[in-house]
Amino acid sequence: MLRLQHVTFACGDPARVSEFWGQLLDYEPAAAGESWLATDPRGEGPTLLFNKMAKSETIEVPIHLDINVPDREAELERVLRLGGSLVETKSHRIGDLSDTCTVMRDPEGNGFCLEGPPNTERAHIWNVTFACAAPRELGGFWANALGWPDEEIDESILQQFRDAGVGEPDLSGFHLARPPNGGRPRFYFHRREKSRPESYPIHLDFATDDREAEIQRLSRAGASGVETKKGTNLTFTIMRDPEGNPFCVG
Amino acid sequence: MLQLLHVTFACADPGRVSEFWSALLDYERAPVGDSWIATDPRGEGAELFFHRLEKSRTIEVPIHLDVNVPDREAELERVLGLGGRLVETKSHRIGELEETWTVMRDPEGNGFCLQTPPNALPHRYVGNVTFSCAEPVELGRFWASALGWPEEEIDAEFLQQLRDAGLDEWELTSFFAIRPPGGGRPRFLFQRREKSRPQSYPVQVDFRTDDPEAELARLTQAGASMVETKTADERTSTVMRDPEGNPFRIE
Repeated sequence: MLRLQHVTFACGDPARVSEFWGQLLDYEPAAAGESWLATDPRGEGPTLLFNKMAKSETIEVPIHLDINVPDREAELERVLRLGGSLVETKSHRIGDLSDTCTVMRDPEGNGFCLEGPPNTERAHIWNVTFACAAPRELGGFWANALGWPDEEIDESILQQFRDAGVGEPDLSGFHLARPPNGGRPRFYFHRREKSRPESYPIHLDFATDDREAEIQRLSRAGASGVETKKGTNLTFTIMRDPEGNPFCVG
Repeated sequence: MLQLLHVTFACADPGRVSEFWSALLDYERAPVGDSWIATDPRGEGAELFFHRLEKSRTIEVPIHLDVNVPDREAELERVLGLGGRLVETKSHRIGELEETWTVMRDPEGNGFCLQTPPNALPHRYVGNVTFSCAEPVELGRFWASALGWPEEEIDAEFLQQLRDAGLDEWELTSFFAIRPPGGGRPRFLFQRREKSRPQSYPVQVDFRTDDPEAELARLTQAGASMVETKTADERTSTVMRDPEGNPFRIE
């Protein structure tokens, strides 16, 4: 099985971007060679890695982070002071169901969402969100890759959508994969057109106990291997998921 | 110059789709061979043309229509009754500026928006032909030039409100609108969005011109490219692509 090791940001200025995310999430940044790491001092949230790397321009990023915060409106102001910028605050409503999020950008333009659900004590990464063509299929691939349970699709929500007038393809337009026992981050998949950049601004790195066996298992599940890189004390393989999103297995 | 001739829908069942759109816009429809045409009896709105044509599957359509209605919420229910489907009602807010619209699909899945802008006319009409694109300002200028429409300046006070709310300069170039002289409709709206790049567009725009050859040369110079010229039923038309690859037809 894969274990999420880092969410990796390709940066022009890793120190600047890690400082921003460190303050946003109350993480501790530390230099690691030319790169920076930001870790959750509480040991709960995923570690963020900031590498000096080329990244392609994108219109809609394939992968972004959803951040839960105690007070979305207050956080918007704080993020602007930290050097972020606003895109818009969006609400979606289908029948009686609605939610609101604020879309922002970090200092290098990476989009992320702020959400303020009730009973949020402090800022944390809630979802890694994938824009994709086939949310259920891609969600199933990742649940299997991570050894997470197959999600039951909540029939009562679907019924509320149907009652409000929603049909296909929108009823199958989203999927959620969750770690066992309410862990986070969750992986969320929604049907969106995305840019297909040569170099991803954000990708995921995973650790595993048996890299070779895992690569074979993931290849059978629909992933493809790109290349294996050997460093002095680290060997990792770059793969692509069934919709072409790159990830690293170390 | 180009004049808007019609908005063309590639349909599996032109009769069904034209019935839906005619009821939606209070248009009158008539068969033309295998196709259907729907026209505004007031003689104001854009003509819609429904062809039996292949269309590719898309996630985000490159071109869609924004339909202005007097009462969005009431219209949502009416559209469901006509055989449309709901996607979602969206609001977005930037500082003090707020807008709400409802995204729906016609019986063949073509997405469109329902909106009730503050200055909406008291009847239903096509408010915008909306393009998803990478460079809204550049593409908008191409189309203003193609149509001989004035180049719109974005209201400076409006831009300042967006800046004050925390938008950066790049974000300020994420939309652009052009409109016919004299405030006619529809406007052409350009927004920075990723779009599908289908082989066959579900919705595209057709134009007429007095001098197709001169137009072809002029548009090519402005960044369009030529795909092919076809003659059918004694009508000659040329398919071109705008600078972001959207096909359009001139005759």
